[in-house]
Amino acid sequence: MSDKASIFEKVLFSYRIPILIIFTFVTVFLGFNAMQISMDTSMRKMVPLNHEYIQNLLKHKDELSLGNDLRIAVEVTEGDIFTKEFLQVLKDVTDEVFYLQGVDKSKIKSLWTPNVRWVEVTEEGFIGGEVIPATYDGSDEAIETLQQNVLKSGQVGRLVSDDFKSAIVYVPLLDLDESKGEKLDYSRLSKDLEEKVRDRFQDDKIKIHIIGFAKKVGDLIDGAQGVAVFFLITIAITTMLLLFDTRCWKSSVTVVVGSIFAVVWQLGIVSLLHGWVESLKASGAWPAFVERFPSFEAIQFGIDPYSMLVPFLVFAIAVSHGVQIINEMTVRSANGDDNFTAASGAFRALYIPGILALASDAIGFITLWFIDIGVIRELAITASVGVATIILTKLVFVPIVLSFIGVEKAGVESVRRKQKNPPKIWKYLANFADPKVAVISIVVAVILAGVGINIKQDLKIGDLDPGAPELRPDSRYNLDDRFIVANYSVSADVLVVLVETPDESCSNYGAMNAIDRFMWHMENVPGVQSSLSLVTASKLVTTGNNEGSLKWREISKIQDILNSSMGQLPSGLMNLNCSLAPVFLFLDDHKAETLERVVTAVSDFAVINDDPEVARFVLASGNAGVEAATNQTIAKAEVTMLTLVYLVVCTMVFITFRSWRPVVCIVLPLLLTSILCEALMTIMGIGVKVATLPVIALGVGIGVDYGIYIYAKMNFHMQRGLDVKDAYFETLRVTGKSVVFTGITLGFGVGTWIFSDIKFQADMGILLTFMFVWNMIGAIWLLPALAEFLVGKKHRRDNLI
Amino acid sequence: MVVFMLKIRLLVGCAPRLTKFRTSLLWVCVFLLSFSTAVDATNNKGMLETRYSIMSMKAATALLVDAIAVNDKLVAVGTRGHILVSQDGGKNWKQAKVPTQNLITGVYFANEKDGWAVGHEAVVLHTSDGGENWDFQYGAPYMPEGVDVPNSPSDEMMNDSAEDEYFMDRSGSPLLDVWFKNEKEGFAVGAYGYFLHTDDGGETWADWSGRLGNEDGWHLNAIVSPDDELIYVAGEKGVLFRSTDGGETWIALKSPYDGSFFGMVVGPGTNEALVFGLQGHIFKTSDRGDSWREIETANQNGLMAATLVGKHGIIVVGNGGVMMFSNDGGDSFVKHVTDDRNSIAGIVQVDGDKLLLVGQGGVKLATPNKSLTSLNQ
Repeated sequence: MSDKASIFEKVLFSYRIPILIIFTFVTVFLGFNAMQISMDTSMRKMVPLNHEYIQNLLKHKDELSLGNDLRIAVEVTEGDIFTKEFLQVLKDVTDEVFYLQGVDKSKIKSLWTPNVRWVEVTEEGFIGGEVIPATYDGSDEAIETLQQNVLKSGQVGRLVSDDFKSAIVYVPLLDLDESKGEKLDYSRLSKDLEEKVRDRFQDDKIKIHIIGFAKKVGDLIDGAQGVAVFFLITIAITTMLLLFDTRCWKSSVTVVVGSIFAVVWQLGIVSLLHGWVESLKASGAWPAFVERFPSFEAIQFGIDPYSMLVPFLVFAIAVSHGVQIINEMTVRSANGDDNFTAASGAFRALYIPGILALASDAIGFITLWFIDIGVIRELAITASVGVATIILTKLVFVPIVLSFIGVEKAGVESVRRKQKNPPKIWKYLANFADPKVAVISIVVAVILAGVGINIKQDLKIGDLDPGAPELRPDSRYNLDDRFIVANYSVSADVLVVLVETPDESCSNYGAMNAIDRFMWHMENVPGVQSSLSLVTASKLVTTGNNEGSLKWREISKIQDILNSSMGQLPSGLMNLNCSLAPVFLFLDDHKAETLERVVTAVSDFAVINDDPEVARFVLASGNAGVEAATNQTIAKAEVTMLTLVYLVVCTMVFITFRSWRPVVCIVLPLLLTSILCEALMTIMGIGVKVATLPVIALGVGIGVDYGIYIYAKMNFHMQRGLDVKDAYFETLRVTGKSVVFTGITLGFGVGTWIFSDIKFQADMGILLTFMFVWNMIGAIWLLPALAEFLVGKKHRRDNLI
Repeated sequence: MVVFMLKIRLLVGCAPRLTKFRTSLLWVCVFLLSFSTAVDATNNKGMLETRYSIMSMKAATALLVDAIAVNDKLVAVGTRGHILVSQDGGKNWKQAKVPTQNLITGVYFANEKDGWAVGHEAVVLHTSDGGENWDFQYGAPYMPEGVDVPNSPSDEMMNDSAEDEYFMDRSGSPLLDVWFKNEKEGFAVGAYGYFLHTDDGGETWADWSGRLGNEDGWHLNAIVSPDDELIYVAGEKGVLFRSTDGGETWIALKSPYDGSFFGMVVGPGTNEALVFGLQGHIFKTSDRGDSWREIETANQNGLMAATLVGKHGIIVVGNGGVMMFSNDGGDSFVKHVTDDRNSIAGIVQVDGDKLLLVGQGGVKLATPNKSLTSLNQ
């Protein structure tokens, strides 16, 4: 800590007013941009774009519409659906849905739409009609006929539940409404569904259940917007903590405002980057850019449910660093410095370690770049941008403002009091550096690590909860999902295998036979409930052509029979030129082991049976396909990323202290936290996934701050000749409070996320809070014990000599 | 071959007149036919792809379309070459080793050991160990044009055959039912008028479609017999045939219906029989099929299989889980629909008071309900 004013300090403190004006101007400008930021939920950046499965999916994206649709189940709580009253409600719901934005009107299906028909084989051939005929008048006879038609229509399990207590309105959506040229607005659609359907029709007798990708995204957006409220709560809590700590509202408000400015800058810069990407795309320069920087392909710089974490982190880190400035400044004021001298002194004392700590945070975040998933890469960039903005606000804004306004007397008094009578707690805690206590601490730590490693053997990759794992298991969406899965023949977890054949050959016997055998192969894999493809449809139609006789439920080798069965194929089972046929595999769940078992079985079959002349079995699409790809990417990236994070942290510490001993002292507690964090994930049923993998990197990157901070002070005191225990006491006396305070601030900063409606945000909140708090404990408890062993003995030996 | 075909034509010519000139012509017909059986139906079992059915935990819940009780044992057949055997009244099923993955459509046992199963591509499978292992005896896989078929008749012969009104290229089509009089002699019926006969336990099969008089080649869906002499064949477009001499000669019965019949059951009386099929139609005869009377029911689902229960009971089952119960020998029926509404394609009475149903959802043991209990009284 040099006593000489650096060039930065000179410039900064010589031009305080102009700098503040520029700062304010930039803040207003970026704040204005930050207002423009919009929610971005594009699928592209949530998936590992370069994974083989996703590449295959994208290759065939335009050939198959794999269905962006909604299912609205109208349930009657008493009796069954065959009443005049219920049928009227179902009709009203059908009519209402017809006018919603983004709906593919001609393809809506319910008992009331003319495209839902019953068919019957008679002496004359097929006859059929609308399930609810035009002559329906609500009379008992009409309802009786309707009941018969429903049974004949084969819609039980599809549009009508197995127990006849609910009926579905099936609503296909258009991603792009060409008549109006507008893209599907998930948020608006979801709101419409709530207001115009659920709120309007749900009462004591009628319940509405809605599922579908669009509804899920709508609920996610709603949930994410709820997080904005958390931000206000976080600010309130943090301000109170600050006031309690510093007893000085002037400096507390300055730090909070400075930290909010950091968030504004971060959001503003992200918004500018978003605009830049948009303009690149608009000008047509984007493809060339992506070609030069392929890893940017999925990057859009919108705010999404993952990157929303960044403002919270930025705020928490900014506040915790701000506290150090207040501390330093108050101590100097207590020693009699005036405002200006105290502020510039605080700046001088903190700018190097501050920049170092923040740089290590940023480099920790950057390791996230190695996970090839758009949202995580964006997180890497936006979090690093955030850390950069903290440097500016913390080292520019806060010192300059404090140099004008200073700290309150109450704060200074409080510091003076504590300097005279240090709280007893630090005396007790200093014992952690006592050789005898240190032994116990290390044994306890080893036991904890052992238990943790044992538990984390069962750590799973991927999402573990049923339904929509993004949302809470007891969220309305997941309750609706459970209702519909229980009462209808639909599964929420679908793996789509793409069968590629030569042109015009998907309905050849060879391909059909291969698909048929493939389906049975897969249906026998544990975890696969059933399968569906054009073969299923062909067999059904052949049965129908043979008057409903099950003895004809077979694909015929006679191509004419096969062809005639393909005439009535429902859409979505093959592409236009019959070179691609999807096979839908309906799975029990989307646990990683299920997915892995199923995709392995697909690959095994493909290895033996792939024949480019006949059929090739290609993975994958469907939500399960995307998840399988994501899991594989995560599993592969996990080791790389953890290795890198620790490598970076070790290097940073080594560069700072030029010795391997502090590296061990600082990094081992972090490692213990990582192990315990994974054990906690195992116990709480949280898998390693897109949301939780970054948490580990963030936890380690930010956690190392405490260690560097404490060790630096200890080192300083030891070089003054104190032994480890005394040096540690001195460290705690001065900085113990701010270390504990930092841990608590960071913990509260992200802790509010635990209450998010979005499950993965809650998971992130739990894990980050745990890591921040445990890293703090590790630094205070384990670090001195390790230091006693590694440094203390050497220190004593050196001193003897 | 040419000679043989001509004779067949003669036979058809004489068939309708059988009643008039019974004794004199019968001898001629029998002579001609015994001569003709010397010529085998083209057996291309060598061209069948041998692909053993996959042993699967799900076989008992996958599609099954026929079942039979063989003493204490139950045998059920169905999709993907599945043949299942149960030794404990249908609770547990063991999958047999079957050299095909084709849909098996019918099964029959002549005794405890010898059984036959038929299926798509006209496969005939035989077991001599009570159903555990099965071998191909016959097959006629689809031969697209241009494929060289080693066993097929020469071009010249084909041309000759094509002139014949009974000739039909049925290759690739399924057999749909099978019945054996004893361990030597049996019949298999199927699509486009398939009518095969064997008298050497299935070693060789002869095309007897000419004897039936099914000129238009309608699908033959069922063959049933109460006593080895009286045999009925029922099929598409309401066709009905009867033999009273163990299958040597056949006459076409005057049909009461022009829709498809899927199945038939003889009884309760020796002269009584029910035939049923499309749209839930049931017809009853009390004079061995000379005259028929429609039984009015409340059901419109296709009916597929039936079994006699007790003295006067009959249960007919079919699509959409329909079960029609009669306790008066088929004069009237009460309709019942199973909860799962799965189509039922076969029914066998088990242990006197239970029913084995096979169909869409595989095997299902139905517990007796009131209507069934009353049938047994």
